[in-house]
Amino acid sequence: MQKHILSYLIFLFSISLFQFHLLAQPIPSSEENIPYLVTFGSDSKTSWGDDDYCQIFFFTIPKDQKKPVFLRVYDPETGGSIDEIKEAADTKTTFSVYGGIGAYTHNDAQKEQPNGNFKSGIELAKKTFANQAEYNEKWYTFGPFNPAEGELVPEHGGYILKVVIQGIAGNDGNLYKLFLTQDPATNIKVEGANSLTFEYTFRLNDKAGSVSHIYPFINEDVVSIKIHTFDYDNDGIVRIISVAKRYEPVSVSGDNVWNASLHKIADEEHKKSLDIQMIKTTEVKDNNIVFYITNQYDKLLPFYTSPIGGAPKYKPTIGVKPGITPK
Amino acid sequence: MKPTFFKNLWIIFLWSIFSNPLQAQKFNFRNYNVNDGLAQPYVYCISQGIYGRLWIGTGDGLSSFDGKKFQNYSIKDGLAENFVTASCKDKRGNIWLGHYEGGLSIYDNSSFKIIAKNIAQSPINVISEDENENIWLGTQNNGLIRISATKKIVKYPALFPTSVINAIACTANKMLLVATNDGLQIIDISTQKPTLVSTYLIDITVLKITKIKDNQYLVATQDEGIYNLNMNDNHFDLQKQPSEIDLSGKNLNILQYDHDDFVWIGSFGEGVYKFKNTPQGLIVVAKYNQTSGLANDYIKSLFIDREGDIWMGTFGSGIEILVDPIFTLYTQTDGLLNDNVTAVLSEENNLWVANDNGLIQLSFSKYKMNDLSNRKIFPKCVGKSKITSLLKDKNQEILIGTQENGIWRLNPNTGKCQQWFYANDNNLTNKITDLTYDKDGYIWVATEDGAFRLDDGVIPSIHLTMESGLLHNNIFSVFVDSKNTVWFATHGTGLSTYKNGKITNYPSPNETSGIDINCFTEDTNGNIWIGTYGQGLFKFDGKKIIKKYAQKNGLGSNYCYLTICDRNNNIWIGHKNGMSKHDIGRNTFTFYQRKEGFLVDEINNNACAKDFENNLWFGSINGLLRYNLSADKIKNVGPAIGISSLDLFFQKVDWKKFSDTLYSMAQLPLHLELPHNQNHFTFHVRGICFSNPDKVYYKYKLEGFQNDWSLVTKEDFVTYPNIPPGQYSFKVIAMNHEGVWSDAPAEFNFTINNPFWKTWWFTALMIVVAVLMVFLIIKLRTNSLEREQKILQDEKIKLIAEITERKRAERKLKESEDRLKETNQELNTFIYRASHDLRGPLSTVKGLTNLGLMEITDETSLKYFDLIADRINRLDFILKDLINIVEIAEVAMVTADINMPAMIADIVAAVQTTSLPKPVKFQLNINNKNNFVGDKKVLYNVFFNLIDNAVKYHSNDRNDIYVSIEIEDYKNGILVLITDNGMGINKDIQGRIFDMFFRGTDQSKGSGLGLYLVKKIVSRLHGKIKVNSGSKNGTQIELYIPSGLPIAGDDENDKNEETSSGIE
Repeated sequence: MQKHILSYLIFLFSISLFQFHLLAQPIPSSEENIPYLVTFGSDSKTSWGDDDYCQIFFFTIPKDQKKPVFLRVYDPETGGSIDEIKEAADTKTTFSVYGGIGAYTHNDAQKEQPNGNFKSGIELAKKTFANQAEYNEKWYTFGPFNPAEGELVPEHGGYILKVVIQGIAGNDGNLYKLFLTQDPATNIKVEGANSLTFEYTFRLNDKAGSVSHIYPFINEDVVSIKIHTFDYDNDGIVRIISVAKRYEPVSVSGDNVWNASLHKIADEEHKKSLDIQMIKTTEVKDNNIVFYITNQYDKLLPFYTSPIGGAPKYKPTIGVKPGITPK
Repeated sequence: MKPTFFKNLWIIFLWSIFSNPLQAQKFNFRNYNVNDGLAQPYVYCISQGIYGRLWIGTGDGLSSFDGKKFQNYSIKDGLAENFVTASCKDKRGNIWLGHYEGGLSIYDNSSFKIIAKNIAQSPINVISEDENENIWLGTQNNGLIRISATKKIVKYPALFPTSVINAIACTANKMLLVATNDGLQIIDISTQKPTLVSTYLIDITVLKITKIKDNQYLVATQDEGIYNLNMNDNHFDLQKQPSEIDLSGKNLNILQYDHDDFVWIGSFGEGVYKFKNTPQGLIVVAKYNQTSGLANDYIKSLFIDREGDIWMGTFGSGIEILVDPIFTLYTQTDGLLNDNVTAVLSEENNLWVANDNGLIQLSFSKYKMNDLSNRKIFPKCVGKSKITSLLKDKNQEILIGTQENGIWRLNPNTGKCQQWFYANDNNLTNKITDLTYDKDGYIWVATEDGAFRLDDGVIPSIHLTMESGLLHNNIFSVFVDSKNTVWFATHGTGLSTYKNGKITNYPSPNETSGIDINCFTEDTNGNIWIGTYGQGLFKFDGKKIIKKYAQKNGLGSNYCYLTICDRNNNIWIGHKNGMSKHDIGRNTFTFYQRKEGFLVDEINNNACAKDFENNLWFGSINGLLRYNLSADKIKNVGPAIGISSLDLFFQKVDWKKFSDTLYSMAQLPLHLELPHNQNHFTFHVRGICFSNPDKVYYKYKLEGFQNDWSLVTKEDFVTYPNIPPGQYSFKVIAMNHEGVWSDAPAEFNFTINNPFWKTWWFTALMIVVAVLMVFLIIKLRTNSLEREQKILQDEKIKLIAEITERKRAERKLKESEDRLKETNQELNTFIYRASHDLRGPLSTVKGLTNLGLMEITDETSLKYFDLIADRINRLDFILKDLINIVEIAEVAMVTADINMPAMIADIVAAVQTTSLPKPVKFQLNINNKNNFVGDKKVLYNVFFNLIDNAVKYHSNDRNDIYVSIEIEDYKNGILVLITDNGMGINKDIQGRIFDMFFRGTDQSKGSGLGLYLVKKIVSRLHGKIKVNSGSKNGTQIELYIPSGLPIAGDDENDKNEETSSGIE
């Protein structure tokens, strides 16, 4: 009898996992193992982990997507249990969605700092959230959006919508998630869609030993990269795994400062993703950090929440029998 | 627990269930999506062109729709962009199109043109036209832009530097109402430089503005509901519009106002609301969303077309048209006790619905005839008996007639229902078929045992039966008209009425039998309409039946179960599976069946009522059917009609080759002229009626060819073959399913040119040419004649010369001839005389020779005397022959009848007298029957020579001499065959046998003149001679001699005279 119940429970668990997989991942994705995105109010100190109180994400939607898409935001307000409240919850965060020409291709949209016309394109939706309990740990849905309202970027295979999250007031940290979905009420993955950002601001896991990942994509003209981190607080080890690198260490920044770590790129790493692993070694909580990566021309490289080509695995270059680890 | 507790519990239970709002009513929509041809399922804007087509702007192209087919347009057709965000039809009928990236296009009913590729750098959200034909654009990020009637573009960035413009309304007093994300702005555009007059609803996102009437507008906000804006001169009054439901946070983004005072509000996420705009505010009439049948709750655009139909552009599910059902069916699912509705009663704003043995009271508020939620239920109030009729009495109680249980009385307030009218002793009396009031307030009860009148209370004051004079006791229904006449429906009889204490019967209109009357109603003119079971519908004018309608007249069926007159004086007749509507004014019938929404298998007898909004309610075995008066109005809008294409000889034509300027739906040249041989036309037409696109009918005519309209047809094309040259005007007009024709026909004028040979100039040219030709011909002929004359003259001269010469030659010839004749004559004379004279002395010599022979004994001398005698004889022959020859030539012939046998016999005898070396056998066959005339002497010569030769030239190889002589009639003379078996004549000498002095053999002792003489004679007689012979094979002479003297000039046979073989 117990055996049957156990089998049944395992079966149910498997089914739930399977369904969760079908529901796919929010942003941050499950592959990244990053708990939340974070954007602080404009009155915040940068030492809390957000250098510019702004986060920009791009969603790529395949050209053959005919059904409308929705952008869902988990916990868009600032004031609930998961947010980082400093004194009073007085932060206002604006979420705005852009499409049309320039939403993605405008130079200012692909910078690490929100300068110039970073809100390029056509504003399709906008809402400001403050401390609103009705949105605490709940999903808010923007849309529907006609995929054709995005910017058509053939290199990305379709249309791109830009989401700008900006803290416009207050000094609290707004922690949230995003999801591009086909249904306004549930998270249903848009087939073939992906998301990317050029500057990633997020909350690390609190627990020591947890491993988070981010996946920059290396195109073919990259010779070397600089991994820029801000306010990492030396909270753990950061290393690179790729087809050519096995745990190449990355030097990270301290508190409220930037640091850049230079790495060469091998030929076999071109047109593939890198896996930048962040292994937390301390018990420091609420550590928010900022990442961006530049190539040898100081041009930003994108982070894809679902790694292009999958999470990279190191390929040894020498023939080794299984079980023998090279020194 | 007491039983009543459970009973109460049951009632409470039922009450709680059925007092909840009903399951939402379903509406009918007709959806058009990408599968139907729509360019993209995101519909941003809708307009309607001058030809009736809808122009639908989507995120990936512009679609035009004519009710049946979509046609899509994009950049390649001339649009600035594929993404169309706004549209507007201006006063001239052009369609202005705004695009997502700030482009602006225009469709001028001929082609698309780009006004500006990037008039703005952001989407154009709205386009509007003011009184001066200026076009105003409201953009996403680039403020307000004006395009003048001359296409001059002016931008006003200062007016709306950051605001998103969502809507614009142009007022009559030169104001612009601008809806922005920052409120409602009012702009004065009366001057060249528009100025901001005032701002309302600051920081509120205003999405739409719609005009209700002059100077009154409704303003829709995203989150704050609806506002009412009134304008008086330049004074504005903006007030929140009260609404029955809270519209805050509904994301209202579109607003339309129709002709019936309804406000349609679309929302982005909650579908569409239909409100009745009343002085008290907006009252919800209906809500259309996914639950009630709408494809999508995200509404991006709303449009009311020229026919008054509502189009909803959704965001992701295409475009939908609301098909307002004429009939709505409510069933048990909607809250009825069961589906069988046996009776219906309308009183004030209540509707009583009888389901078998239970009752429901439905209470309606105005405009909310869809809402069945407010009701009371009285299940099984009359026991087990079926309810047949309902009536409200003066005590506000409901009288319930039952099939077998008499009449019951229900108190709606207490719910108490008890039996009221029941006859213990007569079951038929308890079979109640109908209840009604007369004008005096008395209740009339129709039963199977006659009719009762209840004046006050349950005891009948009057009981009418056949004994009283009714035509039958079984009364199917009872009706009281406006004149207080009571009508009784009976079967198999005529008409029975009762008034003022008197029964009046009218005979059956059927000559042979009665009619089976089921029901009555009265129209507004006082006529009574009588529905029958199988005999159709009758109209009674108070005195007699004046009209009968049957199926052949358009009535749906001859079996009528109920009749009722609606507010518009139409008579409704219920049949088993359909409903007929008779339009008295137009004298037409419309028959509604399943496809028109009449989703009922069987109507129940007389189960009908009219509510306070003039909707009709019918009871059926399938539920309660409501006829929606508002949905069945004749819109009096005929189809938009246009010519969609024109083919030549059934082939498509690129008309751009004929003209750069094309117009009309079909894009045809304005003044089309075609040559005479391009005269086979097929016009394709399109009558656009979106409410019923399949029921459009046409009439055509081609003025100049056929000036009368054609018969009404469903064909949307017409062909005119072989149109003769001329000027023509093709016209077409369309009619919709309501029988309404288009306001004006669509027209196309064209000309078929004459062939060049029928043009005036050609005719003139031909005349000139003809004249010239005639002149030329005359001239040429004259010249020719002159030339001929000259030639003739010359020839004449030549001829004269020739003639002269010829004459001279003839003279010479004559002279020569004469000389020749003379010479011949002299010669003949000489020969004759010489021969004759020589014969004398020769005879003497011959005599002396003979003496010598007799007296000389010397052998040698004798031999010499023999030779001398022989030569003298030969000479004598020659001389004799010569004399004959001359005689033949000179001496005239003397004809006489010839006895041919005798002559031949003489000749034979003469020949036989000569010394012959062998016996001669003569075979004679003289068979000429006709009289033969000729010169005996001449003929004798011929025959003698021939026969003599036959004997003389015998063959040495034969022992005898055989000569055959055959004579028979032949043509005009005789044919003579002389055949011998002699030595024959060699072929090489046959050509010379008739020559003078020719002797074919040494054996011959003749002169050599015999055959020459024969030839001469035959020639002179115009006969023929033919010789067939071969060496040693004998000889046959074939001779033809005509009878009589030879005629001068008839010398044909002479020509053919030859000597030997082959003369024919």
